[in-house]
Amino acid sequence: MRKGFFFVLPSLTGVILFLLLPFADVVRRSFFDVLGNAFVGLRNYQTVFQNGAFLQAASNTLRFTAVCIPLLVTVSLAAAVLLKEQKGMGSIFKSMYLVPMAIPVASVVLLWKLLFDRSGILNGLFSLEIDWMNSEYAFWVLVFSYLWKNLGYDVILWLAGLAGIAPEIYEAARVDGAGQWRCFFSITLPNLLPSLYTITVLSFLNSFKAFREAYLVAGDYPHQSMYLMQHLFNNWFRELSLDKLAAGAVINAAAILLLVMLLRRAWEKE
Amino acid sequence: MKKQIRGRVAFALALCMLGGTLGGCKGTRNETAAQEKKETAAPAAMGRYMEEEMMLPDGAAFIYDGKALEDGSIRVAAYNGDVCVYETKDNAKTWEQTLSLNESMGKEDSYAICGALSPDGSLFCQLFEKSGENDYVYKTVKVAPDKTAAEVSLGEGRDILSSLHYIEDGKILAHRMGDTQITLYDDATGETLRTYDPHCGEIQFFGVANDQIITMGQKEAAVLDYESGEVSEFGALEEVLKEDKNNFIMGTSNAYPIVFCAGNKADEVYFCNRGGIYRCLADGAMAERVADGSLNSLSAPNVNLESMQALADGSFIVFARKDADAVMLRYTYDGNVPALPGTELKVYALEEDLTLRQIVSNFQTRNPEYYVNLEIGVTGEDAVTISDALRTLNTEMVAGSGPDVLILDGMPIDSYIERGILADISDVVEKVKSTDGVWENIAGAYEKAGALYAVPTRFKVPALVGKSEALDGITDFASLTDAVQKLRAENDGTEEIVNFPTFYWGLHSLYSACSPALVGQDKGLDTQAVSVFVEQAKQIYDQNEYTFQSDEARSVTRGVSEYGYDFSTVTPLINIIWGQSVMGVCNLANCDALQEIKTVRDILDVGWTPAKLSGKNVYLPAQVAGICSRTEQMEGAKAFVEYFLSKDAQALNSGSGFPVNRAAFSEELQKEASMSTGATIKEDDGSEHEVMLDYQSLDEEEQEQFSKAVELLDTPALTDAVLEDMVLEQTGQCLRGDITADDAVRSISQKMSLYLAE
Repeated sequence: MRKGFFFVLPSLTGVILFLLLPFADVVRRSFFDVLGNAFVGLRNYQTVFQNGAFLQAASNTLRFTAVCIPLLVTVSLAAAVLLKEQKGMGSIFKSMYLVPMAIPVASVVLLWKLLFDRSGILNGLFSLEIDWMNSEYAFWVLVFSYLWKNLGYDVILWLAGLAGIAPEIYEAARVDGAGQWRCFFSITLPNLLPSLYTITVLSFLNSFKAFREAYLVAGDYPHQSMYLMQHLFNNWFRELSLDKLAAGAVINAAAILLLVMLLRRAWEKE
Repeated sequence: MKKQIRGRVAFALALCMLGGTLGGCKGTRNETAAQEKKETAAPAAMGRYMEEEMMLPDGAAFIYDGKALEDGSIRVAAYNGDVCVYETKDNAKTWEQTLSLNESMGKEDSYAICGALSPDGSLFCQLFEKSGENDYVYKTVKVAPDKTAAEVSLGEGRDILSSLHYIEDGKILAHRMGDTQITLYDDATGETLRTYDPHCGEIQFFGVANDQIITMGQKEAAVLDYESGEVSEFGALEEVLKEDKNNFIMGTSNAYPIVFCAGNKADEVYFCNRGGIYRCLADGAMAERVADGSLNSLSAPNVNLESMQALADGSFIVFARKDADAVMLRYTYDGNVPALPGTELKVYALEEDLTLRQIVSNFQTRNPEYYVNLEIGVTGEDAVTISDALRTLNTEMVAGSGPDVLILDGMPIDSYIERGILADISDVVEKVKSTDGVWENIAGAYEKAGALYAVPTRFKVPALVGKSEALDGITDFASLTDAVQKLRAENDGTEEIVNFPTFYWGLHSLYSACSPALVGQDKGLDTQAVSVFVEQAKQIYDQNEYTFQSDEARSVTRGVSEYGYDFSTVTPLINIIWGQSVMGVCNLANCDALQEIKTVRDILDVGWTPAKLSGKNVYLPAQVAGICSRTEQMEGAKAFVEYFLSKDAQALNSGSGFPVNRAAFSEELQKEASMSTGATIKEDDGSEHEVMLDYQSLDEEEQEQFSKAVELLDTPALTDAVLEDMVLEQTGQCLRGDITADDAVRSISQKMSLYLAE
């Protein structure tokens, strides 16, 4: 036990020094004014909850998460199940799914601009005149980008989970007359529940990285539907609203923690 | 046993990692930065080059060339109504004239474009002479030490020489303007001895040092050996020179951004630019700075270099032009003075501004105990945007290493005031108010609860400038649009009704006048005002027949101009005289604009009126100064802001805005006109002729009239760069036809709502 602790100690020290302590400072700052001199109690939290921009950003972020996570999980699972059946070409397809993850963000942004600009390829192909990034479609472009980028990652995780299911179970089920769908719902899904928890949490955390493309394409103030929590925090930092930023960050972290704990509870019950 | 060893190894490794991790951490939060600096600071390094201004010959307007002789005397070729050579043997206390071109040639008004001194005391120069009524010729002349003058034809005819340098007695190097080569001539016969092609494109100027020919192109530099004509052992100097783009930006004529000279050793070359004096060794890969320009006049924008010499005792002489006066600056090493002044004062501005840089240089000279470090957030040399620069600045301020003085143009001033970032500087403003007086309606722009946290040190006046009949009856944006539409019907052949220099600058001028209306009293967005702005701007622009072609002109982002120049301060008068425009919206920033309007009135009925496009008397605050509340140099920062508001500093005005200091403002209006401009007039029959317009000074009535107009100004324009970019980007796209006005208004409203809601 002691040996294990000592081996973990350097990394733990790094996590404490560069993650936990700074976060503790953020929590502290959320109860003080901008310069950190005067204690203001819960005033910053009150201000944040009454702030229209925060409510907009939170609503967009929740909506984004609620749309993207189920979509990503479902589509990646379907892709993984289909891939598993592939014999020769399977590894090539697997690599193709991972290519989007390897493309740098700046290149993805360029791609976005080429595709979704008012004079872009999409409008050209279908003779449309939609300004994709400055309309309600912007949200769906963001969703599409998130799915495109993260699908491969989840597919790999699902494949790992699928590989852990013993083939004998399927054989036994087929002997008993179970069809493919019955096998999927009665054998595959229940055995993938542990993976589902991991994939859901990781996908949820990855959903926050969608900000990068949105910011590089549309700047500090994108279309309202794309305005996420990170946009708000970025802008608050520019305006030196550190008090609100700290309170917002604490609220954000608390929400994520709550969600992860709820998920964990739900899985443990299963 | 094995388990015990493993345990001990694990423990030891963990301790090492922990030690390494914690070793990088600095002191406790409770230590102030000053205490840290005291405890960790090494003893101050001693010794630096001190500047001394020396006397030049009487009346010397500028210096063509200067030479330090082996016996310690100094020889200069100067212009003072005559082209003369002078020598001093007593360190510039007295000067003796040794040559006079007027005397040698029997003329009265010799004028040379460029000149060079040979080691034996000869003067070689290119003269500029009138030939006939409107014609000019250039001829090259050599005046020998015995005062005999002879014309030496280099075959230049109508070619202007940009630089002349002697490489040795009897041989002179010359460069023709626009040429890509340098030619070596016999100075007695004019025979071409050799040509040098440095392969750096069109050459702007060149210098000579230690048998090296250092050529400065538009963006490339080349160092050739005089004997071989090939790249020399000082080839690395090329890369060093290319690193600073300011080395290629020419200032006034006969003055250069960089000058060169030989060192006392054959393997040394020195050069001098705004950064200071540098030494480069043969085969060296970099240049060593021996004198820091930021601690003396070399960094001042109003100083343009002409020539430099290294003296035998290790000091340097630099001949330069300070504004319109020739100066000789001597730099001598003093080992008893600290290498840097004891106290550093950090001044931060988002964008470059030559007037600010000049003020910093002057303050530095007057207060040698301070080392003023001017930092510019957006230089244009990298991809840093204003938002990025603000975040970096905020990080530094929160970490306690932020600047002492902030020039708040483009920054979220109200936000900084609300968050207690800025200190109260009412006492500084009161001091200036009690001595010179200030425009209180301008200086109080950012007053909150009786305290002043930021003060505009200058201001610009949004104005409509144009033909008088066109300006009649324009009282707001709607009446401007109506007037423009009416003028379009009456001026069929005119390309522009309202002059737009580029998309950005045209819109910036309109925005300056309208911005206060876009945000309501409750700090919320006024959607109606945004709609009016976009639609009216579109209607006005659509009346212009001229369409921008270049990407730069069509850009709706500000970009970064090399000198931080604000093109919205340029009046449209030249375009109006030419017949291309009827009027324009601009920001009046100095007396030159008013003098220009008065001057043009002699040939055309033009005038100006405040641009009350938002229905209010708007002014544009400029060079808004504030002091960071967490500064440790409060005294120095206040001294700097006080100097910033002083008459001395406010008298400097290269288009940055009218002074808020009333005494300086009065002097600005009273200043004698010295500028002139050429304009082309197109007659009704299609013929054209050029006119030269010498600006006229304002009389008392005109000064009073303008002062009364300034008294009425009561509404500061919005200066937040993020907000402005938001509005102009969408409006520009609408003007370009990329999006409709409705889309632009919707987009601006959405973005502004988010911005204001934050």
